[in-house]
Amino acid sequence: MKIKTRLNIVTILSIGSVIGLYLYLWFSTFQVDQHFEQIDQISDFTNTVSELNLVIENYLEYREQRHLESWNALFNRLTEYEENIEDLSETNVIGNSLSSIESAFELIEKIRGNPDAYPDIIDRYRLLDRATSRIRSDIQMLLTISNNIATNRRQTIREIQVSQQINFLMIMIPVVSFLGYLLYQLRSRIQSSLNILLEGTQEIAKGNLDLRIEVEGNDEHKTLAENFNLMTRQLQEQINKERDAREKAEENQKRWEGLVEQDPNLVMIHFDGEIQFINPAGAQMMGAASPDEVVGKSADNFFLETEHQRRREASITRNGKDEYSPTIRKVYGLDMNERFVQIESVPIKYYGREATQTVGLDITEHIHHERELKKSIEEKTILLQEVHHRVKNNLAVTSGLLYMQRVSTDNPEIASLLGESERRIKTMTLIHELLYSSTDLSSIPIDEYILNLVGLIQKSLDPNENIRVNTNADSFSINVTQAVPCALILNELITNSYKHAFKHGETGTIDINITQNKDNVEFTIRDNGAGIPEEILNDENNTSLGLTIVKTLIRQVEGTFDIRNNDGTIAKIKFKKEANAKTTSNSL
Amino acid sequence: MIASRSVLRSLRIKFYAFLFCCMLTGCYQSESGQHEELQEVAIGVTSTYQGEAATYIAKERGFFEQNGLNVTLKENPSGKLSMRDLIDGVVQIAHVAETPVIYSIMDTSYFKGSDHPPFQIFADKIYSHDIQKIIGRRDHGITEAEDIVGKKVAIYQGTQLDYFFDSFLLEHQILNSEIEIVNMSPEKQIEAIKNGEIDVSVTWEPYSSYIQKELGENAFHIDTDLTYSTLWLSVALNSYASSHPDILAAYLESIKMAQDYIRENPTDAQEILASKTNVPLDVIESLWTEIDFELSLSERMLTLLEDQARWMIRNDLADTTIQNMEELINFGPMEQVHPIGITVVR
Repeated sequence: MKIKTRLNIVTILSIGSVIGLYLYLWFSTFQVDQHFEQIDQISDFTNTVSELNLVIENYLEYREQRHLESWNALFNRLTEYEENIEDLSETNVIGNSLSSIESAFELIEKIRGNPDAYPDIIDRYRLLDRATSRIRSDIQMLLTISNNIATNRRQTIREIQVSQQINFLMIMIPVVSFLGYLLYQLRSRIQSSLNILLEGTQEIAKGNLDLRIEVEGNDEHKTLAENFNLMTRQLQEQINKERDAREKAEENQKRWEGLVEQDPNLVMIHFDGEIQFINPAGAQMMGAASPDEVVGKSADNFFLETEHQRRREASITRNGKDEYSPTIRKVYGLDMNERFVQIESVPIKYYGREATQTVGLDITEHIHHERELKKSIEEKTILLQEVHHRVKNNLAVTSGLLYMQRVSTDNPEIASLLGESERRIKTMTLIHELLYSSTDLSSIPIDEYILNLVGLIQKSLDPNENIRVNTNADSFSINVTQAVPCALILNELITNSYKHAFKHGETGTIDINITQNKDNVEFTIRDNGAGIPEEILNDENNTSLGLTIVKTLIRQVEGTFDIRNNDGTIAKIKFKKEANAKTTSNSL
Repeated sequence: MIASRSVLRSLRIKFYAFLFCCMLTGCYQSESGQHEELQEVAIGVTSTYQGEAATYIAKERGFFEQNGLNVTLKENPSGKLSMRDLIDGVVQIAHVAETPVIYSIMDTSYFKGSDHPPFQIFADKIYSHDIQKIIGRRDHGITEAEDIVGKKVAIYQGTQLDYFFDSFLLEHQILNSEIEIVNMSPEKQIEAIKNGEIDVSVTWEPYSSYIQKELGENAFHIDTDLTYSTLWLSVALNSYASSHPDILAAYLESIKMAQDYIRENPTDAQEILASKTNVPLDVIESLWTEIDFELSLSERMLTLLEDQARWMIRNDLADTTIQNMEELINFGPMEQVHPIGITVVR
């Protein structure tokens, strides 16, 4: 049974007992009051009988009118009492005695009123005596009975009072005993349970979490003990978990500390720039002999931003988590040495606070190497440009010499041959010109080159621009190795179309398509001219210089060459592009 | 160990609870079971008299047995005969009215041939009123008290009717010589007046009711202003009273229990009385208000005894006298059983 239920029972019993006792006492008091009221009424009756006795004696002796009036009044009052008082009306002798008294009184009045009817004086007085005696006897009876009734009432009151006391004890003793028993049981139960719980908690307080508190019964203390045991068990599990976690953390800490201690890179933790932790390598980067010299100082004192770094950091994309992409910072150490450190920061929790962990790599030597390399590259670039420039200039000189010879000869054939040679040299010159004017000295943009080449040829062979040249080239670059043969091949094929496809003064169209599909490059040159004579096409041993150059150069770029007639001439060259060539998405 | 301690504690609590219950129940043990052997008592009663109601109830409801008495009722037609049985040693207690008692004391010839031992009154059991009646036949010319002059009047002599009728004659100024007195028992008077052998019957209840029933409209109840309240005394021989005071007390205790029962169960009491006395229930009901059942030894009783003693002397009915009527009374049993019923001025 639960303690709450027990307490409820005790409370209900207590309240019930109090109410019951109150009702019982109220009822008993009511009963006693009723009896007292009856006694008072009977007492009035007795007093009236006594008065009647006195009045009758006086009247019989003196026959005063006032006594007769008193008699009538008193007798009527007694009759009323007899009718209204319960005890008197229930007792026949009262009414009978009153009736006898009245009859006897009337008889006396009759005798005294008419004494002549009783001529024998002795008999008259005997009769009067007997009537008087009857009245006295009945009055004495009334007094006796009323006194007895009052006595009985008093006795009843005493019995009620005794009964009240006995019943009070009979009710109170078992109720109080039972309540006492319940309270004793309850107290013992609570005390026992509390002692067990108290001892248990003391044991647990000493650290004995293996203890399980056992409380008998099925009450709140049992539940409390079970919950307490559950709490202890969970606490123990939690402690075990935390111990495991702590051990693991300590192990990780040791491992981390070991790693960090031995890490040649910077490992630093700071709150808003204030250094909380730094490993020895980091301290060394700061020019300090030990981490203690650095901890507590602001990281901004060591890491300075150059204008270049500011620009670079401004362009760094922050991912919204205080996580920074690697950046290079110049460090001015306590030893006044300048170092370059590549740092990377991530937000972490450090002792429960938001912190930033920065990992840094000393790249001072790398920076120095880079600078030297850059300087070397710059020097070589200048040198290469100079080479290209000189090659171009030499080729330009050669071309100029050929031009001078061409314009100085009267032989048109020689002039033409010289002109071809001049264009071929210019073709190569154009390549070197593009190379040295470009930032990239190893490849040339093919689309740009084609436009220049077409312009060059057109200027040389069709200054009137009778032949329309449509150029469609993908935007990509090819390296110098392939660029020169390609340039010469294109020069030969375009020149061939200008010179042989159209008669002098004819109009026509040359379509140049240059496409790149992955690493495959295809040149297509089509004209709508007369086409190449079939005997030349079918002659395997054709010794035409132009075709010979083309075939020779095709082999150099390891490509294929196809030429045929189809409403003009179509020449297709395919080869695989070598690496180190840039591609852009722009197209002409 | 803990379990055994718990069991011991539980047993200890149960033992205390048992002890407590025994103490409580012990307070209510009936006293009836303490009696060992019932004592034999014979009581002389008037079988038809309503004043015997308490005796019959005590017998019927076992109150005598409860008080250790095995009572035998000797039923007689009048108290006078019960008195005779007492003197003869047939009964130990006699129920009798006051007049036979006075006769027994003051008239040595009352019980002829008997030099009776002294006896005593130890209780009066009723307060009665108008138990005695005078009934005349209308067809014999009796329509008022004075009409009995010259008529044949039946009366059971030697009973309280003598004193009652004497008062009647005195009230109505009639001389004994002016009427013809016939000594006749109450039972016989019924048939006698019915047959017209007598003109007037002086009798007591329930016989007067029987006569009125028999005569019907022909019956004339002659009223009297000087009413008479007879006593119904319990009388025992002095020798028996002194040797068996406990029996007298037990007897009174039984009567008192019966009187309480009558007050609390009047209907049941009337039915028991009707069955025991063979008096019709309607007669008993009509007379129920004429009697109160209450033990007493009152001053009125003493006054009445003295009145009757004086009456006997005046009428030359006594050949001896009694100096102090109070000496006739044994207050002991009443003081033991019902002291508040004693109202004699001592």
